[in-house]
Amino acid sequence: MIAIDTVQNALRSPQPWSALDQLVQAELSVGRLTNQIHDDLTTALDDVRSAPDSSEDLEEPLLDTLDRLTGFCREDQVYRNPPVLPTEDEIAKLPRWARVAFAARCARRVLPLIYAAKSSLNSAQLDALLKAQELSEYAASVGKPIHDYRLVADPTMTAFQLEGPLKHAANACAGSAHLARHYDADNKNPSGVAVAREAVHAMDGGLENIRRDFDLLVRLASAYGWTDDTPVPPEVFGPLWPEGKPAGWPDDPELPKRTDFALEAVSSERVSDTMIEDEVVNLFLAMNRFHIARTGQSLTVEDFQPYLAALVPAGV
Amino acid sequence: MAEPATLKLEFRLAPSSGEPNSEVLDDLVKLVRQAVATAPPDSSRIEADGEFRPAEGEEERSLRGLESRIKHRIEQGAGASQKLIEQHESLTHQPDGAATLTAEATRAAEAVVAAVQRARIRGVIVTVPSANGN
Repeated sequence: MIAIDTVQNALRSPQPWSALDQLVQAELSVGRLTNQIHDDLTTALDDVRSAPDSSEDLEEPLLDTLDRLTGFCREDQVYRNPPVLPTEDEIAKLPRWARVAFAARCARRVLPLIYAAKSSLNSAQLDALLKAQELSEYAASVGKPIHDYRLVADPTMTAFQLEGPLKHAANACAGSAHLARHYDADNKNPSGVAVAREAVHAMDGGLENIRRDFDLLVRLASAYGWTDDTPVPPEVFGPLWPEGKPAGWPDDPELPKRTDFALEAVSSERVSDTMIEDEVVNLFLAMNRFHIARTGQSLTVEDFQPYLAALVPAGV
Repeated sequence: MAEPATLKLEFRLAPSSGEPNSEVLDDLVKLVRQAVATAPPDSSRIEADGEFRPAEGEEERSLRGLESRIKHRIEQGAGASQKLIEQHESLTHQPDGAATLTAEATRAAEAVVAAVQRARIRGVIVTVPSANGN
């Protein structure tokens, strides 16, 4: 909890924005979440407003800091949560299929461990674990529970027979399927935390990525008013490791072999050529920046093919 | 009311040199899909599913003009691109360079999602064709 006096002092310092930033960073560094810090500062704001020397100028750095905590600012200014596992309370606030999608995502992170240990599993065990993850991902993406849960082997039993990181990975897969199957409207099943914890144990890390996935779901659920019926497809998460997979982490055998990839840009009559040009160039530059950040090599664009709507007669 | 799509541009992106990195190229595909999956539901009013035919004759010449302007602007950005490559190279040799590169890749990934969604809001729907998606 941030003391109100500390906030008051920061606001009256010569550099109030930096002083508040230091306060927030100190809180984040000990594992406090952005919404907890936001609550503290909102309480402090009430106090600031009731002070005799209160003014808009005095409040402004605090209001800016609150915006940075809620993400209502430039992307590079947003305060991110520290890499801590979501709590049961936090997960319970997510809509139903977002919880399942989160568990399925945690399990997907550790699938390469299971593929890498293929030789030490029999085909029924391997199938049980892969299917468990796949079914949970599917259930979340269509917003329907798994009913026909007929696997060759029980993933929970399979996990029980394994050891070390592989056991944790198997537990994550089994747990995600369990969440997709069982549901009691009065019981916000808390085992999503257990699945995330198993994934962290299996990877011996990855907390930052797991927290990022979770925070993304929280933002999307809030922005779009997701309900317990809203399906959540795996695509919402994007790449598993946008910064590159951890050193020594096994390759994903499901990764398609690519030497390039195609894009389509579709527009309507009201969009001018200049706007299309701007957006395609802007997109290319963003992709090029990502590619350089990951590989040190730039991208090139090729094979441009223009098409017109089939209803527009040729030559018009 | 939805507007019918009138123009479709197809193009490919590939590394300009060196061995293609499947993982990174696939991550770019996933970022485009993420942008589409997380875009505001009302961010586009274009019906992008219609039938298209190749542009012909004068219409093709006009669209080739669009293509050359896009390519020209991309080439104009080659200097900035080279600077990024040099920064990357320099960071790989610095003791704390890995952390900087990680942060830059994360920010760049967010910028790709933002670019796809911005285009969508301005009436340009960017997708990965399903045949290419695997």
